[in-house]
Amino acid sequence: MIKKYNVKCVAVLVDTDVLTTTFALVKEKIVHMKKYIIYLFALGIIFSSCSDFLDEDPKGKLTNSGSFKTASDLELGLVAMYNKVNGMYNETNFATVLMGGDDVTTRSGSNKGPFREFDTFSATDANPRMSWGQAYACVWAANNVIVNYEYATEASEEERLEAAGQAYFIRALTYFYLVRGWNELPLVTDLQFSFDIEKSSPEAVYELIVEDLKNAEKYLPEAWEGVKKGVAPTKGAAKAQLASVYLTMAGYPLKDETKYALAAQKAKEVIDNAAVYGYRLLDNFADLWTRKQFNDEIVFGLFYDRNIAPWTWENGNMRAPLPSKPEEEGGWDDYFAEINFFNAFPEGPRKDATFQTVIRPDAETTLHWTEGVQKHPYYKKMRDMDGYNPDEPWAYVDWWSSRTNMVIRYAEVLLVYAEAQAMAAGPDQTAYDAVNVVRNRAGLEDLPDGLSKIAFRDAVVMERAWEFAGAEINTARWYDLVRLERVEEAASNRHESELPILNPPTKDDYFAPIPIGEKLINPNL
Amino acid sequence: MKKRLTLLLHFSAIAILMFFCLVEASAQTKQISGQIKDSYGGVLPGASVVVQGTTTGTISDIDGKYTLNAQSSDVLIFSFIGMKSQTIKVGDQETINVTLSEDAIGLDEVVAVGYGTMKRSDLSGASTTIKADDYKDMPTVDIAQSIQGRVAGVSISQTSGSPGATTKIRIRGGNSMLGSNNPLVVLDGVAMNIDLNELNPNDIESMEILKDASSTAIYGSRGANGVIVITTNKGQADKMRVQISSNYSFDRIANTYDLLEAAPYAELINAMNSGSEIFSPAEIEEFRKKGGTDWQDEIFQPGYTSNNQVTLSGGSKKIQYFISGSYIDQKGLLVNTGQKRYSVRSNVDAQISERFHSSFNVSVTKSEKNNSNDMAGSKGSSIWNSLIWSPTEPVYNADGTYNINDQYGSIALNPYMVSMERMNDVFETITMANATFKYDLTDKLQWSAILGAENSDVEYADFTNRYVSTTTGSSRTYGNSLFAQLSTFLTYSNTFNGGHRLTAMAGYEQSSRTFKSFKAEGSNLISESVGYHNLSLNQSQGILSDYERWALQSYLGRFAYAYKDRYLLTATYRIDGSSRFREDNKFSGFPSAALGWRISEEGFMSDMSAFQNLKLRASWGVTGNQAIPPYGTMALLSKSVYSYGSPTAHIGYSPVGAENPYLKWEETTQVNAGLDVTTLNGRLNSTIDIFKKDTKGLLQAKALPAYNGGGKIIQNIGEIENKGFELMIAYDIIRKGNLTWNAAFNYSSIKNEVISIGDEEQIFPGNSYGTGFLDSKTFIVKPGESLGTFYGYQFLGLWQADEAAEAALYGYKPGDSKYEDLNGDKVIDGKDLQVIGNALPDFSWGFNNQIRYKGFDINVMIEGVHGRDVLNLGYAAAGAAVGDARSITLAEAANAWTENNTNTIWPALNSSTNVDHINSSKWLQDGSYIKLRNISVAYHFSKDRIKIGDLKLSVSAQNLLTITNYKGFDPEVTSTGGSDIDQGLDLGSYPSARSYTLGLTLNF
Repeated sequence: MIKKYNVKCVAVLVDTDVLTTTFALVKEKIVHMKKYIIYLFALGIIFSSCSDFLDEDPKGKLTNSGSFKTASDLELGLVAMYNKVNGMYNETNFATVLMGGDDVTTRSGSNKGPFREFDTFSATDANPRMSWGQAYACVWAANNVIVNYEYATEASEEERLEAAGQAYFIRALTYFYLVRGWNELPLVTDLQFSFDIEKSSPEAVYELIVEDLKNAEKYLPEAWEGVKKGVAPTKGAAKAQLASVYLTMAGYPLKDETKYALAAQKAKEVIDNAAVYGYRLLDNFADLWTRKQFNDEIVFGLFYDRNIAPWTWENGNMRAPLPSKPEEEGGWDDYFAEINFFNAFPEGPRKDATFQTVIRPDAETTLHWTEGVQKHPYYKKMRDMDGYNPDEPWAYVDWWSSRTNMVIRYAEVLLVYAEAQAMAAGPDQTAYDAVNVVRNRAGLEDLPDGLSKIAFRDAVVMERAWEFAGAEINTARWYDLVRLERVEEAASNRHESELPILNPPTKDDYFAPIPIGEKLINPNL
Repeated sequence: MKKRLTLLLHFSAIAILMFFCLVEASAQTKQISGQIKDSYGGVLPGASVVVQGTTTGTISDIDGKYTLNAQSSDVLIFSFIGMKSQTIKVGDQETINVTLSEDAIGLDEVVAVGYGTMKRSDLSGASTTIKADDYKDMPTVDIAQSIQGRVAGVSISQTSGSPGATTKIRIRGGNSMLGSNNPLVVLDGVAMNIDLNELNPNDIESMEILKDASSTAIYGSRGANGVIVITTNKGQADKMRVQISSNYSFDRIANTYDLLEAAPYAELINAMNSGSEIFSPAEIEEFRKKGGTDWQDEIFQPGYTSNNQVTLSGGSKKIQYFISGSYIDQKGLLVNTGQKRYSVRSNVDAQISERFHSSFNVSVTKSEKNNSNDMAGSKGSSIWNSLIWSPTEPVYNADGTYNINDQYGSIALNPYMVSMERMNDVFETITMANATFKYDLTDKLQWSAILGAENSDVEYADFTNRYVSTTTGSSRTYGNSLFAQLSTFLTYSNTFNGGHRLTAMAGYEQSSRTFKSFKAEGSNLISESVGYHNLSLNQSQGILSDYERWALQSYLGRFAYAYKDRYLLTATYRIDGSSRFREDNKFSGFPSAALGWRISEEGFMSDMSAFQNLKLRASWGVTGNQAIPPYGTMALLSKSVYSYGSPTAHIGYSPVGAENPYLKWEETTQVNAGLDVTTLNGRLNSTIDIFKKDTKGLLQAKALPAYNGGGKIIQNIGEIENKGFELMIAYDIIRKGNLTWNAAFNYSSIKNEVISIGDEEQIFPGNSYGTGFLDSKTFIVKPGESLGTFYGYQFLGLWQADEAAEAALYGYKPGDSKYEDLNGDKVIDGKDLQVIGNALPDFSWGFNNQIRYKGFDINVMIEGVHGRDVLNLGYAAAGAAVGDARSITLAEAANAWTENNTNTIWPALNSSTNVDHINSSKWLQDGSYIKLRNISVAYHFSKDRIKIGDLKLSVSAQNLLTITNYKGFDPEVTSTGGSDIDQGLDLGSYPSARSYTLGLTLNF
């Protein structure tokens, strides 16, 4: 390569007439004056310096080629992947497409337009707060590990497969979010760029999710040691998620009822081994919603530390404390509870821990929620954090927290089992046990015996609505309304003082439009 | 290593040469004195007297008098700008009085061109000279502002009024989307990419602005954006001259927004919340009595600029020196911003022997900028937040602590608090040095070498306390950048019998820049008491480092030929090799050619004395742009940090974007035609140019779909064209003994057009601004449109009561905003986005007046820029409740739609269906402006009246008057920085000051 450039340099000298002319003139003079030789000498040195001067070495920067060799290299890929997952769920935006649920609504005016679009079933592709891009960033980072893990030949087989298991789990988690939000979407499983990929059917997407979760189940350990302990996904988390996926596949739009049995089976594997994985229901529902980073009910969670240096967006959580805090108390009013939902919510410790019903703008004033500006009760699940004093809710509190995002709770596993078992095999005692333990904690009595399959299912679905109220990440009420095709019904049961729905929802409103930015790049979407 | 060795050898060779050539010469000298006048009998201060063939010389004083030492055999050259030079042999004379007559634009003047000089009359390219004398009456700390409005085809804008901010300079428009469109700056022969504000304006003697390809192609791959060739001052062989000057400016904000006062705002908040009594009548009454907080008033302060200069110059026949020192102190308009700048320069010229001349120039500039990051373009901007914070919120709580949050307006922190508490300091030391050697091998052949270097050490020191961000922290970054250039060339010039004159030059050049940086940072401070001085107080710590290098290797030549001073030909060729490209794409050649015809020299014109000069010019050439950063052909992994919920940072890397190893140079082909006319006995000078620049193989970053991880891929696709018309006219309206009035007018119009972007119909390669407030890309790149084109919704006013049925089809109600439904599908969504405006001006002009009457100097400088749009996001944030701005603060916007108030563009308050799109024509405003850039009056007291020396006192005002329809602070500033895809978007941009300046200059 270097030689070639030398040749080029010479060629230039020969080509340029001007140079040859001037050189000839100089030559003439050399005969007379010796010291000119020194000038030529200086020139000669310079002209001969065509060497490695133009070579490029990026030194400290990592490049793509051959970056996966060791177990540490795999870890670099995984850290980047987790970073993106944390960034996807650390603000209200992930729930924009879930606002159609009858558990949540938002306010008029202010900056809530994008949430309002989904709350009133008038979403457009220009909606700026859909987490499409963030979700696909997770998929891409997971693909990076999935495509490359086999090349890490200096890592052990176990290290390679564990890395793959984590990536399969995250990819499945993310596609599950995407397919429930958008239904038809580009199915990207490698690192190939495409400007014209077509949308895949939900069947194809679910097929990949199931396959990925099976891989994750196979490769992930039962528990982690070290920094990943309690943080990275485990075999139990993969089984739990697979159960949820099967349950969803049994409903709209796939309506593959054979999946109920598979869902029940996977959920049962988790329940039967709960002690092995260390999962249990906490005794008090309220204990789930403290600033405490870990608890035994978390099957899979996202963990934050806002003080990490350098400051990075993905390492703090903006979901607590302000999004569902009343504006009178310095909050943002992003979302709060729908009135009919709140009214129907059974009394008890769970209701008390779920809602904020009095508003205290200052030390002297206490208002019932009906006297507040928005005249709605607020969710207080994602509220507690360092520096927040529940006795002085009006006091300044930081918008940026280290609150854990629970993605899969053990309660979800129990309720998935109850519903799936009932639908697959009828509401047997195991199904009753699973739902009743959740109800009892909430201060409710056991479900009445002898319920029909459908009545039992509907009871469990309501249980899910209350247990996971306020659009919890994996179990938002909206998902249940869609899979059971109850969006229209829920919308018709809207309190008269809610935001008006000008055009009642149809099946077209079940799924979100692909953002305009993406469609401009790839018109096939 | 190899490079270093080469340099070392080169230095040794030069040292040896110098040794050989130190030949002493001696002769008899005597003192000559005299007075220089113009043809009307007025004295000419500042005229130059030079001994021919040397750099010995002097400048006439305020009375036109001079003295210098010369030998009887010497020939003196008397010259003055705009006058014909005269040569007079000394002989026996000891007093030589001279009368200079006017000349057409100094045709004999020697001007700087790339790698040499040429007589102005021989030029066949398009270039413009700016001399220190042209802008001496306009005080500035940034030399770029001295060019503003003076040169047709050159657009200069102060994109930010922040002290120390850089100025955006475009010569004949922007050609590149990905690369920089900044012109190349060549300082005393060294082609470095410096910002002009790193130079002390007082050190500069002249600037040559090279515009067409014939002038710039000699700079090859860096010539596509035009070139500014700067020559710094030199000493004269004379007794020491001292100049002390000082300017002090009182800087004020020129314009503010009309925002709601506290009481009407409180009423509006109540109305926005369906009439709830958020503010009780008693509270509102209280506000009406006591008023609220004027946030603009809180964050803006009266600033000042103090500019102090000292220069010493002089020398002997063999050695001349120019030494300067300056101290600049600025307090910005935004509280807690400012800068201090110190600089020294020493230029030494040595005539080592009769044949060997060398010069060595070195300058050191040290600057300290406090909070110079104006946060423009970010929602954290204090200026932007001052527009949306509620006037009902106090700055401080009753207990004296800061009021941190706004309950109803902005979601950002108290802008006054953030401004006052932030601490981001930049300390920079820039050393520039260059050595030039010229040796006359024969009378006709000269060898030259230029060695140049720029070393920049910069430190960023940041401290974030609890008031600025919820996560405290501190950091220090050290960066070093070293640029080095080595050029050597031979120049042959000869005049042959029969009127043939030719100059040929050939040379070699190599240059490189290496950048290294190191950063230590931390967060979660255990104590906030010591600012950024103790990083170990951070409980979480991290380190970073970076390295980057680029290199260029070039071969260049020029051939210039003139026949009988009538027919002119110039041709240049340069080959550049760049480290940024791979394999076969590393090298590229850049040719140019130009023809000139001086019609006025033709025999048939000799009787027509109407024209002192009439020259027709035409040129063609190719220049390039590397446009990609170092390593731009590689796919680099992107770093991320993740905590696993623990206080330890774990580092991750993942692929973002795609690589493209086949990238190559952008190529710009430019043709130019021009006409120079001097008439009315030299009183009227005019230059007209038309040009067309065509840039092909455009490097562009194409956005990858989000499903491919987002990111970008760089490709050589597309074509951009700039074509334009330039006119410059200067006319001596009055030229009497003690009264002169020169008026100079220039006009330029440039049409920029994207011709192609490959197989795409439209792309959005620009940046995002204020995500969360404005969430879609605002600038579109589309064939047929220019850069800086706005893409959004067409605002059509409001839905009215009689349109309720149709509005309902869209889900809207009367009183809601109405947008154009392009495809008629009864949904306002992405399909309804369209081109709504353009930020590039249609035309611009400058009008400069220089009036001298006895001891008075009066300058009036006006600049106009017309036909451009600005997306005013300050106005949008104040006028609509969207994103981070949750309520309305704009006084106009309180005039909301109701059933009884329908003639308004402000939607009904508290509508649950209204959508305020920020990327809409509603917020697009006419950004045309006419600015009175400078108006000044100066008076000279001659030495006779002031014993110590010549004294000049001046009073002036900058930006005294701005005529514009723009509703923001300043139509000129933008939050888009130096980008060309994005332009004219005002999101908390730092406005320029209106300044009142007192100046004093003392010469002795």
